[in-house]
Amino acid sequence: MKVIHLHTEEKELIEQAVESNRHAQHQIYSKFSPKMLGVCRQYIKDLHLAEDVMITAFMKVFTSLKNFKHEGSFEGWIRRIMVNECISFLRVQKKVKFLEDENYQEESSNNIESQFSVEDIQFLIDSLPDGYKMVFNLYAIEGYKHQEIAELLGIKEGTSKSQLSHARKMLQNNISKLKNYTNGTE
Amino acid sequence: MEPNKLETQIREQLNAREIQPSPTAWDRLDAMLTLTEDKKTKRIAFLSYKNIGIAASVLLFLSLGLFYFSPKENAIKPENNVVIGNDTVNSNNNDSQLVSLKKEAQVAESTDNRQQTNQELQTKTHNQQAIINPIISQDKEIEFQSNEVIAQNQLTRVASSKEIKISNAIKVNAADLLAAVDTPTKINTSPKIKVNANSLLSQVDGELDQTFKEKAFIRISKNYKEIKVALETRNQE
Repeated sequence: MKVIHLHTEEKELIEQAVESNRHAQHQIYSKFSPKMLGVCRQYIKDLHLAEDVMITAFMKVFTSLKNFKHEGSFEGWIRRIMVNECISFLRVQKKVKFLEDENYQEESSNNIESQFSVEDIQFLIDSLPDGYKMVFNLYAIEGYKHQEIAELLGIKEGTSKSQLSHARKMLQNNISKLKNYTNGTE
Repeated sequence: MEPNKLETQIREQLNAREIQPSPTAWDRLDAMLTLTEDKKTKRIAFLSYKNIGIAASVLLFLSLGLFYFSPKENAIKPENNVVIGNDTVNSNNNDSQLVSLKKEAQVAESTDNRQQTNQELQTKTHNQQAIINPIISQDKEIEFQSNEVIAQNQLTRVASSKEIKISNAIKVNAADLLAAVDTPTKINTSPKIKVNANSLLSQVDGELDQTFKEKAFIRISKNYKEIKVALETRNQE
C-alpha cells in the first residue's frame, strides 16, 4: 500500500513539475540529486565539474519531463539522462578518443574478494583513462551491453569490448597496487 | 566476460553512494529554469490568447473613444445651441430685414420725391439689387450656421451685432445721404462689404470645421464649376 502511495505521489509530483511548478521541481531535485551527483562523479573526477554536468542534466530532465511515460522507474530515467550527459561532456569537453583496437583477450575472471571503501573504488575508477572509464562504468555499473555502449559512444562493438578488457586489466593492477600499499602501511 | 564479483561489489557500493551537492547548485538550476521559461513565454507571448485579448480590448477602447468623443463635438453639442443660434440669427435677420425694409421704404420715399432724372432711376435699381443681395446672403448664413459649433455661433452673433451696428450706421447715413441725394453710390458699396464680410466669416468658419472629405468634395466641385465656366466662356467666344 505504501509503495502504491509513494508511486502516485511521485506521479503527481512529476505532473506538477511538468507544469513548471518550481516547488515540485525542487522536491524532485532534492530527492535525486545526491544519488545523481554520485553517478556523475563516477565519470568525472572533478566534483565541481561533476556538479555542473549534473545541473545541466537536471535541466534536461525538467525540459523533457513531459516525455516521461511512467513506464520504467523514474530514477532509472533520470539516471540515463545523467549518464548520457556525462558521456557527452567527456567526449565534447575532454575530446576523448578511442583507439580502434579490437585485439583483446578473454581473461579468466579474477574474483578478487576484498572489502573496499567507496572512496577506494572511486579512486580506482578515477585512475582509469576516460575511454576505459566510460566503457567500464557503462558495462559494469550501468549494465549496458556492448552493442548499446558502441552506439552510445559511436564506436565499434569490438572497440567497446577491447576497452573493457583493458580497463579491467588496469583496474586489477591498480587493486593489487592498492592492496600492497594498504598492507604495507598496516 | 561476465561481470565478476569485484564488479558487482563495485556496482553495489557505487549505487548506494550519495554525494550531497553544494547548496548553490539548486540556485543555479533555478536560475537556468527561469531563463528558459522566460524565453519560452516571450516566444509565445506574441501569439498568446492573453495578448490577443489585450490588443483587441485596446483597439475596442480606442474605437469606442473615437466613436463617442469625436462626433459629439460636431453633432450633439451644436444641436442645443443651434436652436438658440437660429433664434438669434432669425432675430438678427428680422432686424436686418426690417432695416432693409426700412431702407427700401426710405429709398422708395426718396425716389417718389425725386422721380426726375435717369441717375435717380439708376440708384433705385442699384438699391433694389443691394436689398436683394443681403437677403440671399442671409439665407445662406442660416444654412451654414445650422451646422456650426458654439464658437461659430458666437462669432456670427458678434458679426451679426456688428452687422446691425453697421446697418444702423448705414441707415443714418442713408437717410441723410438719400435726403441729400448726392452720393447714391455709397449705399451700393456699404451693403456689398457687409455681405462679403458675413459670407467670408461663415465660409471660413465652415471650412475650419469641415472634414477632409468635405474639403476635398468642395474643392472638386469648385474646380468643376471653374472648368465649366471656362468651357462655357470659350464656347461663347
